Amino acid sequence: MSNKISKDEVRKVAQLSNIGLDENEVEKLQSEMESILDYVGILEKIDTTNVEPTSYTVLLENIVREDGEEPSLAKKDLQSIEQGKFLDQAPQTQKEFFKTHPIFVSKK
Amino acid sequence: MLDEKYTIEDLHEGFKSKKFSAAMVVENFLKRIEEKDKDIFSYLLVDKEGALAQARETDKRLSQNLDLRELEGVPMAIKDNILVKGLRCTAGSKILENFIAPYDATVIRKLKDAGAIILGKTNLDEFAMGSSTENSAFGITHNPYDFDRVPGGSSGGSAAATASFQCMGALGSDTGGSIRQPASFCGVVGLRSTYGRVSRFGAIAMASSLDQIGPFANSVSDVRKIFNVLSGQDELDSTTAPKNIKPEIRKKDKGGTLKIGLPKEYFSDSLNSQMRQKMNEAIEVFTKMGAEMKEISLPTTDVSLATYYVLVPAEVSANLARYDGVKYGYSKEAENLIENYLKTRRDGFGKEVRRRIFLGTYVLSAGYYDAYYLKAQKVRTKIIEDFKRAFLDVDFLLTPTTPTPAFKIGEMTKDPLSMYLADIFTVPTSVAGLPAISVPFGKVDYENKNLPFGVQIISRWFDEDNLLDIAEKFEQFSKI
Repeated sequence: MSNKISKDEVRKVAQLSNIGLDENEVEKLQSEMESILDYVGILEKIDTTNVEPTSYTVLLENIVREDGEEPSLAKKDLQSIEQGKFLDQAPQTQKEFFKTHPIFVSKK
Repeated sequence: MLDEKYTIEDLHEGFKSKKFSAAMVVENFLKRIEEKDKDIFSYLLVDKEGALAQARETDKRLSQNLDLRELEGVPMAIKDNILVKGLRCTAGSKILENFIAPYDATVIRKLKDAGAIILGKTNLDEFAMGSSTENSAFGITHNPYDFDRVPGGSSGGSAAATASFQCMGALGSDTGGSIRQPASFCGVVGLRSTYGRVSRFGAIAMASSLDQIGPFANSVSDVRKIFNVLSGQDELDSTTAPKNIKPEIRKKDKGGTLKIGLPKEYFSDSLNSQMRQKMNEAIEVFTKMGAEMKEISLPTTDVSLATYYVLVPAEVSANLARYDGVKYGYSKEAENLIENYLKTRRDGFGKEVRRRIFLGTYVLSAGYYDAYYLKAQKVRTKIIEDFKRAFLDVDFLLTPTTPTPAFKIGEMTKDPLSMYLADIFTVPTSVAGLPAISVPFGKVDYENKNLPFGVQIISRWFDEDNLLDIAEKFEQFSKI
């Protein structure tokens, strides 16, 4: 696989990742990515036929409580945090809601 | 006594014999921070009032002759990607510049319950991405042994604060070496436990399948005391393992000789000659301890870093999607939603963070997923198999923690790849989820400086008890 990445590809991936890439940053990122992709390209050489992928190194099991069991102190504390502790940190709010720009805009 | 370094045991002796109060101890640390930290810059925030209030609580307990809790009155520093209720938590990023933690991370809750005193929050590479603590939005931390050098990273603030005794112990987080590498650069002990040993609830996520919180201290026994408090299953983190989980121990040979593996890939030409010399001295110490040394091979060593730099950015790109300028944190005004996202994230995140989000998006995107991400996950399985095979023959693995001692500020920042290579000896164990500890072993001559040197001891999964035992023994023997 080629480890080349075109300027258009850089612009497209930047768009997907919402990092707000400025046009004057495209070239530098392109060259940095090429050197990193070149480096990680050595993975190709490893034979992974019939090898299962690993996403977590421990066996994951749900941690559940017994029926009727009281929630732990830690959980109770979390549940009792006032909404204001979160809302006060929002850049913009309206009443008890986060305020943001509309997602759907009519094309009038 | 308060002028020198002392252990938790010494501290507790002092409390019992009423040589000093917890308030005196905390005042002393606050004074030291004021004097030392202008040159080192390990703290982003010092919670003077909170620390003194906790000290008064300890003193009250002492006056009532209550039993000392495990970490009673122990002044500690916390890496600023771990939430402490009511304190600002920045992750070293402009995007969280004014974020106040609404709750305690599980580890903080445990520390407080054990009587520890939280002095403040320490500097780090932004979102723990980096190996030098130069990537913080708030300034560079300096190595206490040479202010022109880095303390390592990403937990550089915690390592530097512990080394300069601006705290007795500290918490860091280790994704690819972010506890062990700075511990080695600053001459302190740092432990990364088995993935799943310590709860990540309330730690700001970087790469969720690799992040582990762990302790720094000036001795193995203090690290053990802190680790014992931190570890255990947490209902708030489903990736934590039950406390009673047992390691798979190798069948001992006749005589039960301790066997230590030296992975030959870590002793290649890339290891500088002074480091190799120092490593040979460390090996002699282990031999004196009665261990049998055995050369082994971990063939996937040279692809571990590549695996890491596919998996980590992938997880980063997903985890950092939450910083959108809407719910909390920095937000840049714009005329519509998408522009709001773009400008917020362009100005709120630093270079390395944006680079990793980009790389992660790339390796997860259609057409590249199989070639990079899935491939890396398969190689991860091979890396784990390599270690499993090694542990059939030996009980522990021994390596240098880093290929070089602390490098100069600015030396690695031009080329991201050269910075990544600073973690080449710590990343493979992280990818495999194994526990490993960095223990200081004297100094090494490097670029006309005398700089701290650390050895890394790696054990089987969930074998922290034995790992800490051998580390403590090594620490004792190396002083003889």
